Amino acid sequence: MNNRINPSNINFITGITLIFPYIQTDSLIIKLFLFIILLFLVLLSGKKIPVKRLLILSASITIFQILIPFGEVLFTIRKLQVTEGSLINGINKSLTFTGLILISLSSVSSSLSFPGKQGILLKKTLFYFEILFSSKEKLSSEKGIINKLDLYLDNIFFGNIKAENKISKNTTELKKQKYRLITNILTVIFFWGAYLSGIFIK
Amino acid sequence: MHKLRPADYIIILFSVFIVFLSFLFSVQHNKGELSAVIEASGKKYIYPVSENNIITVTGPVGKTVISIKENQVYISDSDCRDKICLSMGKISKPGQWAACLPNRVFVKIIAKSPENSGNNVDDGTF
Amino acid sequence: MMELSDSKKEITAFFAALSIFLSTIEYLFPKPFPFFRLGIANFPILLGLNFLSVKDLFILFILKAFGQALINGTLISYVFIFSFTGSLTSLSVMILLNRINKKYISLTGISAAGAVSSSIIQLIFAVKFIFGSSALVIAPLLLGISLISGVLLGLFTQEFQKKSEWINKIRNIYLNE
Repeated sequence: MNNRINPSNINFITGITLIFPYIQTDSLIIKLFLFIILLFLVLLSGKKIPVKRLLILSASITIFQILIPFGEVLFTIRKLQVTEGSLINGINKSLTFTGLILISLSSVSSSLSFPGKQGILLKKTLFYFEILFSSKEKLSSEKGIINKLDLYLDNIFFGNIKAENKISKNTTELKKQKYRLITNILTVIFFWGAYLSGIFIK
Repeated sequence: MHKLRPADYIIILFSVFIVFLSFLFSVQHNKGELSAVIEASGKKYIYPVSENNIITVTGPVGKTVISIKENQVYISDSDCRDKICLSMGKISKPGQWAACLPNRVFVKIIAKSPENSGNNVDDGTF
Repeated sequence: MMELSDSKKEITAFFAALSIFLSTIEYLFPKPFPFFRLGIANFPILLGLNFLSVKDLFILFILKAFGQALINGTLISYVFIFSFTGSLTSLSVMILLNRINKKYISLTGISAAGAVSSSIIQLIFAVKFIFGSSALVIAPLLLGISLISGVLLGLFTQEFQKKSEWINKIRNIYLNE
């Protein structure tokens, strides 16, 4: 009998518990700090940080916030006046939004086990996705994009329907799992600590 | 090329109409917002008239407090000797202004629209 | 030989996977608005509209929403909420419009309606919760793009549906179960 709890589920629960304190933190400095921790958490979970995407997101959130002036005017670019309040709001919102993406990245993985019939269907879906994504099928030499697409889908679907749904077992070393678990616990404690102390200090 | 059926045209026309509406709405919305611009000690501050706020600025004479309440802006306190600024009344429309001259504080309301952001406030009014 | 009782599930799962695949391709293009989709992920849904049961269409939607969120890792973030509501809106609109007699409407209109309704909802959510009302300036651009892409996708899908043997095979398998 397999007594091991799926580590993916632990990471998932950790992620969920991080959401509230992170969102509720108002102080920009503390949030920045928590954000950096999240960066490490994502790296620890083996995923890549989508830097470009996060930067573009942050930039657009901040720019739209700056369009609503608030507070002391810091400087002016062409006709746009950049105010202190909007800038801080923009950075805060950006950190919240992108930080949440980081929390999600670090806690969600495809090997997350869902219970029941739906879980099986989901596994099937992901199985087909893997095939599509890593597809070695070449587009045929038929003329016309529709014909190409037609044969492509045909090959993939009917070619794989009998394939066993191999559940790839991630044999992550026990040591790594332990590190991750400890980091998870410490992170949750730290995040909640930061949030609660923020309340009491006010 | 396929024949488009009647409902298709209806949907597309309706969508174009919505796009046009959103265009009008966004332009209208941005023009309508009023901001209070405060100038003191060489610094400039901008605050939306729609949000209640209390802003304290410093000048050569001391502090001046500007209040924004219920879509109106007024000087509520100042360290100047005569306190003329306090009786200047409340301003709420674009172009209106109030000032505490001894303290070199100048408050003006402008209509915010992207083109006007930089141009409406007169620098060097003094 | 494929087990017949499974084939409906198999097809639904495949369509969901295809949808996720298409949206992953879209996702790879960095956009300032992460939830704003060109909507090519609707391709399998449009194909399935005329034979998948409403229940299976919704199962497709759930599989696609969660599958995509798991793969992109966005399951617990605002992005998921945005794309979930957008997809749900567009699916509902498309299912409703699909009930109209085919003499009066085609996939093009359905696709356009789905795309635009999805964008409207996402725009409302985005403005209210993240970007603030200053983001309304790009509303016309966003809506315009989704309208155009919706129409183009609809035209393409109609053409595909006519010519594709694969989709006819699938449809027969599904309906004959």
